[in-house]
Amino acid sequence: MSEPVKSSRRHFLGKALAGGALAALAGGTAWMSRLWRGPSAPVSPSARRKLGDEFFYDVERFRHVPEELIRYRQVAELDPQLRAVRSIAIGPDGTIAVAGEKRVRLLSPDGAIRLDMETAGLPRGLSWRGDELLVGVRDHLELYSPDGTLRLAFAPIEGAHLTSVDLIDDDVFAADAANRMVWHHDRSGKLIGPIGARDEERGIPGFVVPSPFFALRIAPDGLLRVVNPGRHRVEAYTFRGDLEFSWGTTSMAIDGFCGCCNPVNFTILPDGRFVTCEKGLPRVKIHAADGTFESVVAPPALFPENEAACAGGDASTCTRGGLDVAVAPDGRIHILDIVTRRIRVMEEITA
Amino acid sequence: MSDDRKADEKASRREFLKGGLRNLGLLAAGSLAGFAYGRSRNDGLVWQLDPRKCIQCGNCATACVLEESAVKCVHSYSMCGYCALCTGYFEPQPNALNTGAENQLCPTGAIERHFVEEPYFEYTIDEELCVGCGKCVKGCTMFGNGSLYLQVRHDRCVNCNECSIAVQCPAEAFSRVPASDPYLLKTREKPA
Repeated sequence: MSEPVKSSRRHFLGKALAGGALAALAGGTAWMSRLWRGPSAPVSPSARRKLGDEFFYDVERFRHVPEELIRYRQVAELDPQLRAVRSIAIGPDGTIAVAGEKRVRLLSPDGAIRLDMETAGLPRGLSWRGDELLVGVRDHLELYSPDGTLRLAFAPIEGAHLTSVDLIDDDVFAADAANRMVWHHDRSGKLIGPIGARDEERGIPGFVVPSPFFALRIAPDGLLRVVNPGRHRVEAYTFRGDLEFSWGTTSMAIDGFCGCCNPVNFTILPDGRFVTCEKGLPRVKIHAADGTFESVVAPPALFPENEAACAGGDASTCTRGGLDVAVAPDGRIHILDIVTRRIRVMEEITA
Repeated sequence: MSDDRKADEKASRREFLKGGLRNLGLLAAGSLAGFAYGRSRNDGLVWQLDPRKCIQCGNCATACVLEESAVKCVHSYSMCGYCALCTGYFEPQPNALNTGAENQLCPTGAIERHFVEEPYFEYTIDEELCVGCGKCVKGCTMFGNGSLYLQVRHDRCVNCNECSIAVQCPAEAFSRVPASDPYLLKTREKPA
């Protein structure tokens, strides 16, 4: 009499557990599908059938990158374990610095956390030259030793939103997306003056900065390179603020820059070539020192979450996408994905 | 003595019944008031599309009960970058950045482009021509800051009990909002 009852209870419990697991699986799948929508997923087939293809935005042909153009492969992925990331730089010994939250986190080349430097706010720009780490924090600059000691905090710039910084010898530069200007300081923190203000007599068109992506770097040729994102080009300035030349093509094709604000970030290889990052169609490319397109480090397919962040829904707009890039002493290119908050380590494919 | 007890019992039963009826009456009145309040609240709600959830699937143009959808593109001028290369206005790879029909993204030509000053341009929506497909919204969101977005226009919407676009919306972006504040407008986002 008692045996059938036990069997029935076991049977019932088994079924309940299986049902629960199935429900959890279904719920999890539904949640995941809501969490990440593929870049091309949202189009309604019935709407497309009724309206026709011309009523739907299609950049599929630009998303695909021919294999022969991709000259790098991913060899590692690092997690800086930060809730928000904005910028990356690499020191002479290969130590990786990542700016995010209210700190700069130093990682060993294999990703182990070495040190945290607390900053006054969310840092967006980073540059590591020699034994100095320059950090752009909202409206001012902070200069650190690699051991985390704050050497100097520059005076705030009114209304500034610093997005990119660099320094060499006695010159310190900061790109300010809010004022659409580059600020030139000396190493003591004294403001020397702005660079890039519109000046027709000097042939300076002015920076067009529709979103908080405005990058600069000092090139090995001694000129300052500044992205003019609204014009899709990289402009070369002397430290006195004279515009020497520029390069960059407005195009969604692989050799150009498109959207409102590309390239969003870049770095310069020791031989003078440029590594550029784009958002919208997230891709990382290499351009020769004169700007000629050379190859692809990472195609859009490598950044589905970053592209999805620009695809609409879930309160996203493309200002939340974006990538940053830094080059290690061994030549590996480190790509910081602002959406996934992880670093992809890319190595050149040889032969 | 026995008659007195009977009289007390009768009185007690009467009291009980009276109390019960009073309570029932109060309950009914409360329910009626609640129902009426609910109805009045419901009458004060209209359908709206949350632009932050919208994925520009195209259903807004085709699922509305109206021949021409009540959903139209609107533009947040405070957010707009006034870009020369507006990805909501131009085809992904335009021949030139001018108003030539072949360069325009909108299949009905519902966006007008006006020069402001070098290198800025203003974009305005011609609602008569807009069908609410969201093609320009997709271009603006994907590469820009999303200043173009869709809204249910309440000079057109007939406020169906069950909005047929809401039923089909894969992003569940439609909801009822107070008629006194019927739009879910985007404003300039502060950089994070």
